[in-house]
Amino acid sequence: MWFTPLLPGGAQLLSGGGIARPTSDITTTGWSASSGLVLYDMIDEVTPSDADYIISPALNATPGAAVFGIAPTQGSGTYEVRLRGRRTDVSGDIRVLLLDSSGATVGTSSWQTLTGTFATYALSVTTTGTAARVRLEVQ
Amino acid sequence: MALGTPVAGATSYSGAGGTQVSPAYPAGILSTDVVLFFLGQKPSTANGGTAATPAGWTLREEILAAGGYGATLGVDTGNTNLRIYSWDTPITGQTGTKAIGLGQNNVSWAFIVRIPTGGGTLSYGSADGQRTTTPTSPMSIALTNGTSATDFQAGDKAIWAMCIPTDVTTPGQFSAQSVTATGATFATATELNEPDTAVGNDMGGYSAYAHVNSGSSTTAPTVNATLAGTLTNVRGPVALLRVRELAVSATATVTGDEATSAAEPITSAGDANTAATGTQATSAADTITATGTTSISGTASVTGASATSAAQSITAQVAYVEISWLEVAPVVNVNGTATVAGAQATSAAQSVSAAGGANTTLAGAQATSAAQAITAAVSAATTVTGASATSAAQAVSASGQANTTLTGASATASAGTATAFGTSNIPGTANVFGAGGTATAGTVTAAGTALVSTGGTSATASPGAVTASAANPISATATVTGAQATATAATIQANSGSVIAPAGGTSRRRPFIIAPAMPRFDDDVSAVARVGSATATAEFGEVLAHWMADAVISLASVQSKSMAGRPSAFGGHNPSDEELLFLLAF
Repeated sequence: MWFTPLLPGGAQLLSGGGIARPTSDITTTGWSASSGLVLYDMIDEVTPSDADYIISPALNATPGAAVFGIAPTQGSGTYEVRLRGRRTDVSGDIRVLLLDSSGATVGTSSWQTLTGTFATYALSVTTTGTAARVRLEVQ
Repeated sequence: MALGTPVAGATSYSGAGGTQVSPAYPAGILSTDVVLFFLGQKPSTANGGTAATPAGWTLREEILAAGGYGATLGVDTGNTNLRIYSWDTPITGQTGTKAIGLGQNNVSWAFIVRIPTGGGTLSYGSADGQRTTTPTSPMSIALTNGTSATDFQAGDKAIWAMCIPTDVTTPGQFSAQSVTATGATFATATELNEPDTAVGNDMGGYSAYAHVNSGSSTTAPTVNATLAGTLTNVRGPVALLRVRELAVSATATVTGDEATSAAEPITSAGDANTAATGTQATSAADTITATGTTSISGTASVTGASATSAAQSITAQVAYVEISWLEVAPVVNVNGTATVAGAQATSAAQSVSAAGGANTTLAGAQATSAAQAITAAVSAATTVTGASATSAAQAVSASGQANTTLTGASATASAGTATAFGTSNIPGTANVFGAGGTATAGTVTAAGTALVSTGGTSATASPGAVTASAANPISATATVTGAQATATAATIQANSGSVIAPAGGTSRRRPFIIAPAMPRFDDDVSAVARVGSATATAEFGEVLAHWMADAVISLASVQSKSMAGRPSAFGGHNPSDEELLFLLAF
């Protein structure tokens, strides 16, 4: 187990059981893995690790999004999508969309500006339907 | 930027004598890709055959009438043509097919290949050659550089194809392809495909690519392949492209005593550097920007005894985002807590809100809580503990329990309201404990038990109202405990029992105690007032109950005295109009 963080105001998150993680690659055009060919395997660990990671397309060429299947699926509600990331240039932003099994968006986070070193970010997403996929968009 | 792995779309064939061939684009094309169109052609006329370069495409390499057959042309034999085009401006997400017009065509094969890049400037070189006799395996074909020589460098890609006039053994004819060039080392080659068709007079071939690992070539390349099956007529043209993404760099260098570099902005897709070297070297470059995509740096270097660098800014872009971990966590069972502990602890929190419990706790000799509001969907509580504890919380509201508790020698609760507004069995409580404790809470309202409790040597409870307002077994209680306890509560109302119980050395009570609901026949609603002390006195009060329940005033003490108490019980009959009016008045 990693940790049980507190939201502003003392809100508490579950740290196991209901947490969903990437379990498959669905759309990864232009994205690559730091090693191997399977991307979701780079980011699905229970304990955060920066030893392996996924790399977005170059940001100066309208980078495409990456879509991963997640399990277990998550019913409608409020979620915190936690990720570790960094930019390799002077700017780099990311946002997360939760999608249903058909790829329709059920929730969208705000854009998060990344720093130049790996750091943990928590993006709040409120969903209107069952989330079965997570989509990463960068700019 | 290292070029990515080439991806070939499906091979397409013209009809016999067809006027065009239309291969499909490979999936995932990006605007930054290298996109190549390979076209092999067996002509309908010996040493003929034409192809119209499509608009927006550039012919990079062609070798025509190759194979050493002269004028011989027929099934599985004859000279063939091979051409390679590049797409000038690829379109991201392009799908469908691309047609190319053909002339003097017997049969042609074609396919499109994409090679991912980092978006940098591209450079092409080319070479071609042919096999003119039946080969042995392995087969080597020495090529000749084109106008733009191959001149391989580390990071380049070599991609080539061979066209043969037969399909006797293809698509299992070729394997173990490789390319060599003096001065350069290549990675193991990968076969992309082996075109193979029995349309018209038949034709075949193969294509492959290899990455340049290191070096700088000084000769034209040679391509090699292991052959299987029938080797007769494995003859024909080979065309090769060298693809390079330029690592462009820009440099301003000034060297010499008192050297000065006044270069204006330097912008480069590769490294961007300015360097001044000299006794009093000065670099005054305004801006240095390296705008490529990977392994790019920008530097300003000034070396000298009195060196000065006045560069305004240096920017080196390597524009990617990297993600190392991700999880989706539901937000549940939320609690909110603000805790202040200390001798003179003060909490000035404006509000504490949570989807679960929301609490603020102060502990200290003179603890003061000035929280404006505490709100929770489950429970909410404010607790102040200390010798002179003071709670100025405006309101405590919850769907579960809503409590205000002060404990201290001179504890004072001026909390405006403790409200529990849930559906059932939810208590709201205001507790003050202290030697001289005073409860001035305005209202305690609950759907369950509503309680004001004051305890101390001279405890005084003066709450405006204690009300339990929901439908079923709900009670309201005001309790004052102390040597000289006094209860001045105006009204206590409940749908079940309602009780006031001062207990102390000189207890007094002056309430109306009413169990006023209009219950069903099988409901028992009681009202009780108890005063128990050495000199207990009941000065005034009405104790009313309904139906078969009790209405009781109980004084138990050495010198107990009832001055105006009137217990009433309306059991077994409907209350009279006078009685109802009396009840409704409270």
